Amino acid sequence: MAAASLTPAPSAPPAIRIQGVSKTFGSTRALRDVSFEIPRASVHALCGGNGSGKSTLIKILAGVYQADEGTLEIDGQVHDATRTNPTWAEASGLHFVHQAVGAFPSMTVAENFAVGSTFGARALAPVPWRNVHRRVQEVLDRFEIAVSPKAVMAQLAPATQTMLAVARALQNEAEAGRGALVLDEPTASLPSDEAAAVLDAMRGYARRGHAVIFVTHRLTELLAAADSATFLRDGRHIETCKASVLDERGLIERITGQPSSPADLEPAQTTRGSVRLELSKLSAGPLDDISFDVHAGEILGVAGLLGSGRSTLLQTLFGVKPARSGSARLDGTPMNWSEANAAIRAGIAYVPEDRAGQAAFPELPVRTNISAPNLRRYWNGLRLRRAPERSDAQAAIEHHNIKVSGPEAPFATMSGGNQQKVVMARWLGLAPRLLLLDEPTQGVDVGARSTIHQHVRDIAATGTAVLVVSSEPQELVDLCHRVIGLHQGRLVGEASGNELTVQRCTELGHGLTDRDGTPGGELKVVTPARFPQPPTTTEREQL
Amino acid sequence: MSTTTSKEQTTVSLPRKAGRPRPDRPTRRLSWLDVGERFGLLVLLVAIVILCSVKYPDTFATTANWQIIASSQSVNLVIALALMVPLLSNNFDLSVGSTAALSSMVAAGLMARDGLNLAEALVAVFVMGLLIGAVNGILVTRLGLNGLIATLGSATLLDGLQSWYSHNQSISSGFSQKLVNFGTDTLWKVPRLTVLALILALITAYVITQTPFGRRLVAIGSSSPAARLVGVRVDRLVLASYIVSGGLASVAGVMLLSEQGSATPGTTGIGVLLPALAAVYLGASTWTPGQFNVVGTILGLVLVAVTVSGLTLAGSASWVSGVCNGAALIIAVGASAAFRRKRRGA
Repeated sequence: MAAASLTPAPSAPPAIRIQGVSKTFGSTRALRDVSFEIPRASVHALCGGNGSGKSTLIKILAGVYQADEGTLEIDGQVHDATRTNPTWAEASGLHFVHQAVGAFPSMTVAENFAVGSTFGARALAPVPWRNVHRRVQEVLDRFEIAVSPKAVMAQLAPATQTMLAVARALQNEAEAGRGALVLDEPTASLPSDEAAAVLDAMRGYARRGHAVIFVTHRLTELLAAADSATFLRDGRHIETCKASVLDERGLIERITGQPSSPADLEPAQTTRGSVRLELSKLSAGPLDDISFDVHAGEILGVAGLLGSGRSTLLQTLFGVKPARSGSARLDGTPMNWSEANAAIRAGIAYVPEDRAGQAAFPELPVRTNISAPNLRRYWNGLRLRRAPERSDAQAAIEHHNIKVSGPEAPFATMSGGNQQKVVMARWLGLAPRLLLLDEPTQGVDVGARSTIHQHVRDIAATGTAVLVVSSEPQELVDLCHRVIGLHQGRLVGEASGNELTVQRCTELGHGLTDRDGTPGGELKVVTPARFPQPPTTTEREQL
Repeated sequence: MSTTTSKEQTTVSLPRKAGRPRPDRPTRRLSWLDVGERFGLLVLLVAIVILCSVKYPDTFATTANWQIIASSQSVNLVIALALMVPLLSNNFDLSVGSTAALSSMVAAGLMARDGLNLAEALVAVFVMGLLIGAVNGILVTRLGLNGLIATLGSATLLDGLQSWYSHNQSISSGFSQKLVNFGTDTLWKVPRLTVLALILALITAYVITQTPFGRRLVAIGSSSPAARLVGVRVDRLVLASYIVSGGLASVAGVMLLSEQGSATPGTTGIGVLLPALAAVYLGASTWTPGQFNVVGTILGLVLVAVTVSGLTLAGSASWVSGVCNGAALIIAVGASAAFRRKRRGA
């Protein structure tokens, strides 16, 4: 047992008491003196925006990171938070289910349960399958999951797989009265009815005496399932309170730290030209009946959660994902291409969310990373002319303020922010008619972020229509003229001018529509329907 | 500062250095390590040549010995080129050796048995090579098979076809004497086969480094999803690279026939493939480290050939060739992977 020192426990100690935990990464203070406690036999929600410190806190509990200072008290035992490790977390009864469930899809339920152990056999002895199946059946009974231990994982519903992941994490925890179960966005990839089943199961664990901590960005879920909630913002503990005193607006105020007040920012300069992009009843992937326009020179933001269809929207417009129905027009011409090549030639540029996997040529020089979509420009029929290619790259490096030794430096040797600037330079150099940005400043430091924002504003000023997807409301407010909300595949509203605030963007992302006509009216939550109806004309006028 | 040096005083009239915005860039140093990476193989090659020349001046350092080395490596070079083109896009074509062996046999058979003239046989064999490449390419792009496994399968299949076509008998007469003469002729003391191989190498180097086709293949090799999103038609180009590979392999087959003066059914794909594979990877560990390149491949081929030649002259048995090629392959793959990792910053 690492870092354990026994202290006399007070009567009925909380499941977890976090005391004065701080953590610094380089110059970033991820957690500052965070203290709160989580009672036994309850569901506790951990809330906060991106960069609030909640993932860091979970990783300290899991022993992946070590805190700089502070203590963790688990079931009355005080541990030094600077000396945690995964073995310690396991031994203390802390169990984790991460967003990617981590199952082996082609293996059976029993094999999935037993794979981390020795299957009850010595290294080369035959696995006693009968015992394994019996033991797994006991666990399944205990968690009331009606599947056979012999069922193949991939054939089960996603919600069942999530519940099995929970049962697997807790399989050796015979008595519920110790430790805690930590669920990191357990429902992020589930449709709402399956998510409800997982939430029911979660409440069941709590009733049986488990302490459950969960992270979710779906506010309705949080209000439905949690007994209490802790809010973190910028690494600080803001508040721990009963969930019963919260409503959606209260949640958002606590997450963003901004009361619902009119924006004090000047409305962004709009130089709207003619309609450049026109979507009409577009359906693709999770997207359902999406219609909106983007004007030349306009920066339109899309607020939406993971799984809302925000990335699908951009990929469909770029031609790399097919549309089911509906149409999209660019300057009046139908966009009916099915490969990136045609989209690029039509004047569309796309910066994907996953820089490392989808935008980078890691070992190739900055020069070829920039010229990649534009080789035609340097091809004179006989050879690729290096000199203009190199001088263009050098000009881009200077224009975008990219910190790199020169055009020949390999892409991967740069920091994340500079890599992203290179990707932006690649596309902005083409002077696109429509620029599609998916999380353009993810994992990018503040300086690079403002440079990137400035270049997006500059290109919009030349008449480019820009569509920005961001999970950071602040970025949408900083960058966009107008923001639309996308929730579970449907448009839920829009904000512009004075209405364009961090709070409003957060609401849009979480599926809250406009106030009901009258000021101060009740908020409507768009309930996800299996067969969504198209909005009526009056509703659309409000959008 | 209390102590003012004379140096500072001389710059007083100029704008102070600290006042000017200094380019905040790490300067790129050409360290000995970089030089070692780029030219290490060349230095090693020169050292071995000097050592062998001093030790065996009468046998190693002779025109005849160099002609044998050059002639025997010509076919290997063309097969290495065939291997390299799809490998740029990170796709293996292990069937190049078998395509070459089959082409050699079919070219001999068409002329000796079916009475085709040299030109007709060459065209037929070249078309066959392109078709084999197309089939490999379709297996990889349309059916999504792993290139390594798919072409290992087609290599084995082609070896079988070769055995069937030849009835397990050598063809050593009845075909164009011009072709056999070409295999022994020299041009200013350089074997004609070597001249041909070098011309093909030059063309390949041009295509790889100077055309959008080559650049796009390299982009696919670096990241196929990223290549797709910058408008590269990934499937089409990978298919094209396999077709080029098949064509080059069939040319190598005809060169093999020309060099050996006969087509023997024992010539199996893997035996022809391995030296080429070792050379391509040795090449990726030098010249432009971490990337496949033609100059490095030639250096790699010559290095292995010279080492084998030197050891054979020193009286080593015939097993040294296999040991050298195998060891070279392992070392080369390790080194080129290490350089690639370094460039990826991992």
